[in-house]
Amino acid sequence: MLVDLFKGFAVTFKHIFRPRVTLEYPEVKRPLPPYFRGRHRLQRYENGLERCVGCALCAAVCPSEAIYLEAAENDPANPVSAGERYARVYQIHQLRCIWCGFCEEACPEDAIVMGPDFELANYRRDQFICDKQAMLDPPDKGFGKEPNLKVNTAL
Amino acid sequence: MATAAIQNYSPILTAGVTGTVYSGSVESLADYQAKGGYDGYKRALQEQTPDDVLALVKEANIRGRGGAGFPAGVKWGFIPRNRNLPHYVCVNADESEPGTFSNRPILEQRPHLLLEGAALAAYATLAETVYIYIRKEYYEGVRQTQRAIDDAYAAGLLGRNILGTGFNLDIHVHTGAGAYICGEETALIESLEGKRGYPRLRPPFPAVQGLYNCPTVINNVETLAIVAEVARRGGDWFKSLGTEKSPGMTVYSISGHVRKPGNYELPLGVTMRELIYEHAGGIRDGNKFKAVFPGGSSVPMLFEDELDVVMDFDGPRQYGTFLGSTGIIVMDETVCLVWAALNLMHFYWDESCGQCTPCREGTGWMHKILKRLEHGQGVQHDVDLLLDICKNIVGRSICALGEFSTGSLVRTIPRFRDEFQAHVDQQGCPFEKKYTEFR
Amino acid sequence: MTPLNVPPPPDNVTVTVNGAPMQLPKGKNLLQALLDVGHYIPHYCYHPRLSVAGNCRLCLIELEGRPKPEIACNMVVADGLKIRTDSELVDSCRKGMMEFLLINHPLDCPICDRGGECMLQRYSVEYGWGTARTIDPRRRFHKPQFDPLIDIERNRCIMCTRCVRFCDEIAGEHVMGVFGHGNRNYIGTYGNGPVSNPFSGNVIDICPVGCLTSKPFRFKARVWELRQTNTTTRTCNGAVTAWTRAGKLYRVTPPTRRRHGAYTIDEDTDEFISNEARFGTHYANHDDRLTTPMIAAGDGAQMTTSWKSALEAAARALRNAGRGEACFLAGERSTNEEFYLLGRLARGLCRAGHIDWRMRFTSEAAARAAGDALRASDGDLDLLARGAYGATLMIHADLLGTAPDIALRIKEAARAGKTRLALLDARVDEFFGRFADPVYLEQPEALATAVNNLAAALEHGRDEAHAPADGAPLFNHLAQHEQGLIVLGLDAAGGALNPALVPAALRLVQALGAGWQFLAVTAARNARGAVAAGAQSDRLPTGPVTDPEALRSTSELYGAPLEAPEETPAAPELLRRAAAGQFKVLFLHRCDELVHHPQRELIEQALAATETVIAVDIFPSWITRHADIVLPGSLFYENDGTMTDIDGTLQRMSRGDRPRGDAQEEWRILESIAVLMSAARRHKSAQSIFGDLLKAWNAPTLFRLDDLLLDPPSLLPQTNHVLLSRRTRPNFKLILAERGAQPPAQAAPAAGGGLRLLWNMHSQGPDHLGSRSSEFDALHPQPRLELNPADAAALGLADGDWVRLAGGEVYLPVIQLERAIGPLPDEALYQEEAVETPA
Repeated sequence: MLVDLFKGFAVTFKHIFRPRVTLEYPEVKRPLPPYFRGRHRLQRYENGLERCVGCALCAAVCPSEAIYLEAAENDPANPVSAGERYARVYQIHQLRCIWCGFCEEACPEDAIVMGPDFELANYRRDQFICDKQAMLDPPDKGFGKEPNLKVNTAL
Repeated sequence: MATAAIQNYSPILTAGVTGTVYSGSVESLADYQAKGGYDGYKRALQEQTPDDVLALVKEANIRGRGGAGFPAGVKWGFIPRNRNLPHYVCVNADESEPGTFSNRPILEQRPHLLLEGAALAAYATLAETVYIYIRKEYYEGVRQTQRAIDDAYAAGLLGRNILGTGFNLDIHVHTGAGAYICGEETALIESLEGKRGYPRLRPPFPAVQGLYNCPTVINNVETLAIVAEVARRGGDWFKSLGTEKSPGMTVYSISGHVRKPGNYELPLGVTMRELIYEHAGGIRDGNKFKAVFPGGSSVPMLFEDELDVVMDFDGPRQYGTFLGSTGIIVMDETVCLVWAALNLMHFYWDESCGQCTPCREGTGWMHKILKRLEHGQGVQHDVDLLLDICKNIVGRSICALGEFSTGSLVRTIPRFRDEFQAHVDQQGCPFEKKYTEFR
Repeated sequence: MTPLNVPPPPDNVTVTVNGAPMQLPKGKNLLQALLDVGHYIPHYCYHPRLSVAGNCRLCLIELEGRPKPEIACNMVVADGLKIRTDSELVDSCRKGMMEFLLINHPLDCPICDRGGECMLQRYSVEYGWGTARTIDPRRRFHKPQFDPLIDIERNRCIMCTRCVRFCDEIAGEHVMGVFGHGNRNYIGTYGNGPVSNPFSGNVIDICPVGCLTSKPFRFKARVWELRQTNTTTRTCNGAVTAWTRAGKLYRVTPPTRRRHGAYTIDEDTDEFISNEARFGTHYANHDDRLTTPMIAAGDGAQMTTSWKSALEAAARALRNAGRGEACFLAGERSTNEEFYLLGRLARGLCRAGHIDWRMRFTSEAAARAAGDALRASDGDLDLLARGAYGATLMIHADLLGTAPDIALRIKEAARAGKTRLALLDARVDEFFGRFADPVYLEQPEALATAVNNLAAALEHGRDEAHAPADGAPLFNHLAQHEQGLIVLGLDAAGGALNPALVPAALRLVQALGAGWQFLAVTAARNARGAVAAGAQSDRLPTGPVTDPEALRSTSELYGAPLEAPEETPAAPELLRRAAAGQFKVLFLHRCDELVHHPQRELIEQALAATETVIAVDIFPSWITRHADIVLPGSLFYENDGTMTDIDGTLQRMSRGDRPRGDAQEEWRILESIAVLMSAARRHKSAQSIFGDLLKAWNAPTLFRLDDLLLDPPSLLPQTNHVLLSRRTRPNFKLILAERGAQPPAQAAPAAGGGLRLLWNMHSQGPDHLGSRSSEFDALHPQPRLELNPADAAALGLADGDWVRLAGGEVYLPVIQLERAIGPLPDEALYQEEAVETPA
């Protein structure tokens, strides 16, 4: 019986000297894998234009119909996105979202990606409807050149 | 190797034509009639029925000199033998094929020969109106032809009740604006009707629904000139010239890197080697021969070992190319074939009417690729891609322009693949530029 | 029916397709024949109603034994034809063409509104390479703005020229064309002007790619998000599909068909809808909707109430109305079911109530004449399209203005040589003028005489000797044909239809013999349905009110005893009586035409003089504000029912969305009132009411029975479109205003009257519904007055002068006399739709 007891203590002792796996959340945060699917982000081009053109493929592919968007036409003098079209309203209902990442895969413009943010707690249910401003990257965090749409015919 | 008939041949269609219209003389109505001009026409009107004339042309087996070599008699035979609808004869004097200028001496210096042929065609096909569609750039051609028409009207050879036979004929000159596509017969018709020069779908063929939806014959200038000669001299004389399947003579327009470029009227059956080395005086500057377009820029090229080809309607076919419009463009060893192809592709891209997909997009695409190749931005699969695009165009467009645009590539790439590949590998043209930089 | 209705049996021959024999109709376009039997061949430029262009080269097929492929769209079915559509050659052709089409096509599918219904996307998946071999920059054009409703993106164009051919061949206007050449070809309009014909919206549908898209629909939604309801509008003949999401209407298109496993706009749709149906129906989204029942609260105020109390109040008022004291006016845009229910309420449940629909006519005689004409109308536009009518005579029709869809069908038949068109009118426009011969111009009041003369001459005999002195060509035109069609327009004179014209036209048909048929055309959407469903004072669903047998059978259907009325006043007379205070209850069911009625004072008096006014409507108007009980109705995609096209084709209106707010389907409202008035028969659905109508229409002379199915697809292929005319308007006198480029500030009457006004109630004008369609504003034509140049010279008027019409404070520019649409008889004016702000 004693033998068994020491066996048990041995295990405990062994773990005392091993590195800890438990993190002191929220002071310490667990490093996330790069493919982690957290809160959605809407990305930009390097000149600050939104990548999203409001094509609604993410809404079409979403299995839980968590995405709602309405598109509108860009003002050429003051464009929001890189095409003629932009998402005037872009909402994701995060209580409906099942974090499958299909939206990310469907996006033809690399606009919507799922970021590392997993802290989604809120006090009210309506706060889970995440709108465009909440998801957009800051204007200086864009990347890539927007497509060149210059007229190249003489006409 | 040249036969005696070829060596002793003296020009008939271009008889008396020396130099240009500015230096040489223009044959007047009197000159022409002194040579027996309009005799065949008068005889036909006074002694023969339209069917006789048709039979004569059929019997002589006059093959169209415009490019396709289709027998004129057969073409005329498709015209209904009634006058339920007005019939028309259109003369294709648009001569827009690069490297071709064989109609020009006839239009400018012997317009009556053309008029007689056109009148005979009208008589044989029961037409009473002839339109001569001449490109505007042939300013002298338009002027001289119109003057000849005026003379013929004055002499009573055109107009109402000609020579008291009850035959009416009007000939009009219409000037085209210089579009390559309007040399295509149905595009020519559309252009005559005042529309965009878009080739029509066939069927229906012009012989059934042509100009203004009426039966229409369209012939090349040279074909009708030959008709005039045949009406005067007879079919047996005509068949004594040339080869068995391609009787008669034609005017070869030789241009490019030869010592003596120009028009050479010879019986069909002469070889390419004779044309270049005997008649045109050989390659310039003692350079080596590289390639030749046997029938305008639209047909695939011939190369060094193929020069003994007999230049009649059937000879070039064994190499997958055609006699075409007999515009022979000779290139010597200094020519970069990519550059040559780019030059021509620019022409076809620019001249494509844009009606059907393969020609519109294909020429533009090939032009872009060739431009990249020539300017050192070629990529590995470009050469194969060019061949594949050619394959996708040939036989799939509405008219032949699509197919023509591939003429400078389909035989050239397999033969000179190294040269094309060198453009990719060296990222630029390996040739020393002796010519003007072109686009 | 006459043997005209039997289509000739197809002469089938055997064609070998991919080694398998197939029976196809001889002489038919091969591509169409293959499509018809479900053998799909990809194609862009081919369209069944347009000429063959053969430029997309996608329908290349292999003829066995020939090395070169041929395009199927330029071949006809011939006996012994052997083709392959599955060979390597065909496959490589399709792949090659798709690659060519895509090398310059921009990769902007996420932006493009065509995404999801684009033939380029579809064929790329089915026939394309899947990879791109081009690395070269793509061609990009400038983007012009030339039309307020059509957006053009030339980069996406594949030069199929369908739009060009549509404008040239169908809409009859050379407005679009191909410019440039080579691969710098582009589509545009001449002079960069708008595509100004009343069918221009169709170029959006027939464009197989995203080059021409709809501006009102631009970026509003993706097509796959929308719910499609196959229905018909309350304003135009023919079927449409309403595309909605969450009750909001996004677009209206020709009916969609099931293809490739999904309902899409058929890119080969052989149906063209007018701009009014397409854009004018966007009133559906107007915020100004009536959504709750309201009752009068005294002092001219209204208060919302519950359905229960509103309906009970209505039923109470109707119950309390004495004999002949209830008057029902049924709007011409009501469904057949609503007409039937209104007839039952008026005749069966009220004591000898009055009912009529003919409010658009300003005189009793005109209204009666219109009723007669519609009852006699038996012409069939499908027969016309099939070539059964050798000749067609249009009398005083002005169809392009009042019923462009019908105009389109008649013109197409004339253009295709299916019929020979003649015109007898006060004014001829270019649309028909180019295809018509002979054309006769008469002063409007002389038309009846002219028709009578023709008829009299024909009654004497058909050989030329009997021809009237000045009308021999027209006489011969008619006399030569055993079978033909007489088209009579009921709206061309506005509300003042010349009553003598109808008997004259009917006499002419009679004189021409049994092979001739008659078609009365009016912009009143469901006029045929009103006559047939018993919403006309002298008609019961089963026959005339004077027929005891009809009374008996109708009373059986109604489940209520009926008595023959002593008199049958039409709507103009009913309005007059109402103004005189003879009615206790006035029931106005969807009376859109009263809102802009020329006799507004009369209607105001009627509203004031009647104790209880009940109005069913969807938008507030001065009428609903005067009403004591307002019952909110539904839109054309919220309601169940059927509509009758002008040539008798039934169209189904179906409910694809619930009405906004508390609004209800009209049939439900009417049925509820009937139930409260203790009707013996109760209907639980619109279909059940339609069942009653089917029983009533035992004699199938008015309708083709095979169309009477409730299965939508069988109704969809019918294509009859009549546009509703906008307003009726009294005759104006011309009073010249001072000359000036702008309308003068002060009305300055000048001499020069005495001209008659012939006006065109242009379909593209504002009315009760259309004025609420903001997209439609762009379509309003420039209002203008057209004068015979001789008259203009006599009055000293020139192009661009402004004139004022007496009778209304309306200023109009005199527009381009030299380019007036067509010839006008002397001393006639032509006014194109004067604009007034609706009340």
